[in-house]
Amino acid sequence: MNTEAVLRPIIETRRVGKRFGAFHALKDVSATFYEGQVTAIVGPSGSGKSTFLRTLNRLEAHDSGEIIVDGIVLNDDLKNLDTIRREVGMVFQSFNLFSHLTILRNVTLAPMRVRKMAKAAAESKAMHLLERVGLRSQASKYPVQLSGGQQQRVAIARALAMDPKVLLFDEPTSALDPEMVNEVLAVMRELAYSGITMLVVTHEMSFAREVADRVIFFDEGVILEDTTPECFFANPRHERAKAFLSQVRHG
Amino acid sequence: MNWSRKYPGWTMFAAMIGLLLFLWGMALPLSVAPAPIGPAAEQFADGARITVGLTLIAGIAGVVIGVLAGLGKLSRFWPLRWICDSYVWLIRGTPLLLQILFVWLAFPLIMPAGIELSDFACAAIALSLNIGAYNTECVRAGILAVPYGQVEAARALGLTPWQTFMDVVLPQSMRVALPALANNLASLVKDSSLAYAISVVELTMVGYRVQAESYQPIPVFITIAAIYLILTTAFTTLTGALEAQLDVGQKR
Repeated sequence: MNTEAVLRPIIETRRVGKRFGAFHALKDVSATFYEGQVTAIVGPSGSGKSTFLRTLNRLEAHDSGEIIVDGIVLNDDLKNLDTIRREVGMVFQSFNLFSHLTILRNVTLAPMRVRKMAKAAAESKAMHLLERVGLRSQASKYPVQLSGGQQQRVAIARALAMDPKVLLFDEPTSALDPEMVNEVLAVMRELAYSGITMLVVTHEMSFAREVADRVIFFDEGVILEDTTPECFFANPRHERAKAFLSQVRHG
Repeated sequence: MNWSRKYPGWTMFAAMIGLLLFLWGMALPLSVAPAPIGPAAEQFADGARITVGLTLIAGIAGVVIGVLAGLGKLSRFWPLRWICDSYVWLIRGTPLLLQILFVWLAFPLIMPAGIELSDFACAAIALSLNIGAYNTECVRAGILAVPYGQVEAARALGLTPWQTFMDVVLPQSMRVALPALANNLASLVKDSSLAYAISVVELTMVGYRVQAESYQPIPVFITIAAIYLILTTAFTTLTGALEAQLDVGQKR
């Protein structure tokens, strides 16, 4: 949608490598992500797409190569890491809401602790965000009292509360019951149109096709295709991508 | 029990007030009891206060030690892990009575001159170290029970390792650890009686003295047992309410 208009790079990876023992999860992955862009990262299980996403805020440390987030090199320097994590939000497959805190406290915790926001300001902001994801009335409940779809929407509000420059989604709908997938996708769609930079690892091909500006296809630790959704879904260039697409279409 | 689950805050408050009233008021009804109980009422009350004092000091210090050593056992830094492992191994493998005697008799020899510990302090130190070792294992289990996704979520939000521990891991681990910690505390109320060996005049010692003077062990020991039962009931009510307080947001 706005790929051409905005070209300020926000995340750059150069020849990023990662091994888990003998398993080579990422092989020299280079890619640049631009501000305002919505990128869908797709590929078969074990292709390295989640690992790649998790290296971007160092939930997994990469073994080789370079990752630069908003001009800051991601390395063992804890100060850099803290700065980057403040700017990069993440939404997990299994929500990972803090189970001992109310919905409201889940959303206010990081702004209060990390951004040193006053309680009242953090709460009014949290209520505004909960309103945005349609869960204002649930603020005083605990995560366990909410459905999976509701929990994931809270997780999105929690990530947004830090005003991140980039939002990473790690298979946000994979742990949901089918009837709850759409409510989460609707929130993500609204976010995508609001102009926030998003990297979404997903199996939802319709979401990738409709909402993403760009599709990256991962296979065996490398990026095989990096193109527009139109090109990727209409005529994928690689046999592996064709096989993958026929699988998810008929599977 | 239902009421205490529903209003944990009030239950804790009531248990604490009840405990205080009991400790400072028990001499009154006891003093009207026939001999040998009546004349020794003040001694019973003094002994109970010493027992509760030892329990509270060692109980609180023991939780702090348990959290620190429990973290130490999970540390990536192996010397720290080794120290904490050795501590638990040493304390759990030796009798509490020996530990109390050791602190009482050996510490004065190894302490720098000028520092003198009272008998009560020696007992408190030994009991703290003892319950701390048992608490270590409970805390470690509690921390291990916190799903790693909780840590990842906190770190991804930019919380520091310290904030992640204090705001997310510790409160969640306590939900798991608390029943076991409460168990240790209930044992501590009674284990504090071993302090009699180093002439701390706690509740059991009072009982021993009173029966020795009166030659009537049956009423004296029944009274002592009743006081212990009331104390342990107060403590378990307190920890039970605390459990209910921390249990929010849990599947049951």
